[in-house]
Formats: sequence, C-alpha cells, structure tokens
Amino acid sequence: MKATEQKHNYGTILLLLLCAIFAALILMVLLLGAKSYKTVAAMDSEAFGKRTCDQYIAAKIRHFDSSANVYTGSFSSGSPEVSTLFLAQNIEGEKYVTQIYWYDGYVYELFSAADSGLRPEDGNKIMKSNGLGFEQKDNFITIKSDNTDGSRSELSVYVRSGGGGQ
Amino acid sequence: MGRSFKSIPVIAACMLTVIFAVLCLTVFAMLTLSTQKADQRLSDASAQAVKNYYAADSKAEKVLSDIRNGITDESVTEKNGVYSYACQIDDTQSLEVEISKNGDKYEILKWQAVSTTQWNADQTLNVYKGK
Amino acid sequence: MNTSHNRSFLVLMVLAVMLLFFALSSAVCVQAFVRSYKQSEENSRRDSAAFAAQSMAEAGKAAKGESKKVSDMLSAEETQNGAVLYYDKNWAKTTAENAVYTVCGSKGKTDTKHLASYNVSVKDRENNVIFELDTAFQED
Repeated sequence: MKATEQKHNYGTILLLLLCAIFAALILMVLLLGAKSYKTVAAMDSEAFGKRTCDQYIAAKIRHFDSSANVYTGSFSSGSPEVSTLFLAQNIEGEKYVTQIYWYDGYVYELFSAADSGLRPEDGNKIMKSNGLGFEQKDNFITIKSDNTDGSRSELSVYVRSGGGGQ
Repeated sequence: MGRSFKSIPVIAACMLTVIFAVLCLTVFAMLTLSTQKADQRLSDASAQAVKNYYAADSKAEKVLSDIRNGITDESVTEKNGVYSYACQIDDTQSLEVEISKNGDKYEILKWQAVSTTQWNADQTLNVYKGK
Repeated sequence: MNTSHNRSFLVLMVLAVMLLFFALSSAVCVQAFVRSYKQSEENSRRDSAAFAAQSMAEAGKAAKGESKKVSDMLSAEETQNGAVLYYDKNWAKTTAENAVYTVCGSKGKTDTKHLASYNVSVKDRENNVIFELDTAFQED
C-alpha cells in the first residue's frame, strides 16, 4: 500500500515537473516574441528619425529655391555656434526668414522677420535629434545630422537658382 | 477518486496557460506586423517622392535645353527674356521654373517646388453645446 | 490501478495536444516576426540608399558631370565616367575593401543638344540594385 502510494507520488511529481518545464518554455517564447516586437519597433523608429529629418530639410530647401534665398550661417542673433539654414522670402515688401537649426536636443524651425532679434529657444520644435549641421560650398549644401541611434547621416542638395551658363 | 481531482486542475491550468500564451504571442505578432506595415507605407511614399521629384527635375531640364535650342512649346511663357514653365511632381506639388535668357547666356532665377493644393485651416471650434 | 494509468495517460495526451497546438501557433507567429524584421531591414536599407543616391545626383548636377568635381564634393573616388562612393553596413563612408554598398554616378548622353544625363545606382555586395535615380543637367 505504502509502495503504491509512493509510486503515485513520484508520478504526480513528474507530471507537475513536466508542467513546470512547459510553463517555463512558454514564458521563454513569449519573452522572445516581446523582444522581437521591441527590436522591430526600435528599428522603425530609428529609420523614421533618420529619414524624416533630412528629407524635411531637403524639401524645405526645394520649396525656397529661388533668387538665392537659400543660404547657411550662424543663428541670427547672439548664438554664433548654432549652425543654421536660412530660407528667405519676401512678403509684401518685407524680408522674412525661416531658420532651421539644432538646439538643446531638438531640430527647431523659426519663422520671423529678418533681424527680429529672436533667440534659438523661441523657435518651434520639429523633432528630437542629437545634432544637425550645415555646410555650404557655393550652391552645394550638405546637411549633416546625428541620429538618436548614434549614427550620422548626410544629405547634399544643390541649390539650382543662381546657377546658369551659356 | 482523489487522483481525478488532482489531474483535472493540472489539465485546466495547462490549458489556460497555453491559451494565454497563444493569445499573447498572436497579439505580439499582430503588433509587429502592423508597425512594420505602417513603416513600409512611409518608406514607400518617401522613395516615391524622391523619384517623382527627380522625374520632374529631368523634365524641367529638358524644357530648359529646348529653350536654349530655340524650341518652346505652349507650356512655356516668355516675358522680357524671362521664360516660365512648370512641371508636375505629383498630385500636390509642381516644379516652377523661371529662366532669364540673354543670347546664349541663361540664368536660373527660380527652380522651386510649390504646393498646388490649397491648404484649408481647420476653423471649427469645439464649443460646449449643453447636453 | 488501470484507472489511474488511464488518467495519467489522459493527462499526458492532453498535454501533448496542447503542446502541439502551441507549437503550431508559435510557428506561424515566429514567421510573422521574422518577416517583419527582414522587411524593416529592407526598408531601412532603401531609405539610406535613397539618401546616398540623392547626394550623388545633386553633386553630379552641381558639377555638370565632371568626375573630379563630384569626387571633391563628396570625398568620393573618381572613375572614368563619374564617381563612386563606398559605404559599410551602417551606411558610413568607407573604403572599397570594406564596402557593403556602392553608389555609382555616371554621366550619360542624351538625344537633345545641351542636355546630358547623370545616372546613379546603389548596389549591394551581390551587385543587386537597391535604388536607382536618373537626373539631367545642362551642358555648355
């Protein structure tokens, strides 16, 4: 009687052990699934950041490409180290400027009258970024951005207006 | 008799665990697929936008070279030596070009992508209407 | 004794069926994960290729197809008919030996006088084209 009872106890323990292993394996698979989703979501988020920032600036340059209205420099007032892209336009005889720059962890855009005296923090935040810089050689502008994943991407745009030939 | 009571909770627990796990896994798989599909749509649109712009740009260059060769069609308007024309980029944008030509010399005054759709501001006000 | 054996057998059978059911559903879900991951990688690759191609195309237009000027603008290698840039798997500029992706820009002729073409293609190690761009510029 006692031997039979012991046998049954071993059987039950074995069964419970099997169930425990089963549950552990299921948990492992679920964790793998969650990790896969996290990886894909992170990849898509990084790709969005890289793609959007540079394409946005390139599109802006193309929307202002006339009469040498596109140029780079430092922020208009008080912050010489802020590399800025200037997109100028004339509205009712007055010169207005859209400035795109990186400041304090974000890409900013500031639309104001030229020499408005506004500061970098007065602009609108466009998106998060680790850095943004502009280089100009004649009509060739290179946009250099530091992405949130630590990589650096570059996009070059040729400003067609002001060019010519014979 | 005692054993049947022990085996039923074990079976039930296992079944519930499996059902829960399958549900979770399916939800994760669906989430991953939908996130990736959304990104794919954006990526496709971005690549297509680039191709559309360069197609319009090439067309504009062709028209410019025609102007330089003395050929102009009805889409090109000329006023005081300034030639203007536009090439469609896509449904919402077109490439507007202005060239100043003086003999053999030419200068690009404008090579600008402009929006062809009207932007209508949302002027509705969410006003409390009582009930 | 027989009854208890039958019950254990029943429990094991139920476990086996549930295991099978779980294995089948996992197989389907894992396929979805793998497909999504691969497609995300592909999208990211194409986006980076589009950027690289745009830069080469813009340099080609700015330099009017002159190989030396294009290679100076982009720090690229000069070729007979254009320029070539090499990128590693993270799309950072690198040398030909470590290249995973190649961006080639080359000047071409057209039927129209004063018009030349500049063709850009981005290829991987197996010479598969990831992204292609054709643009044109004015010749003097």
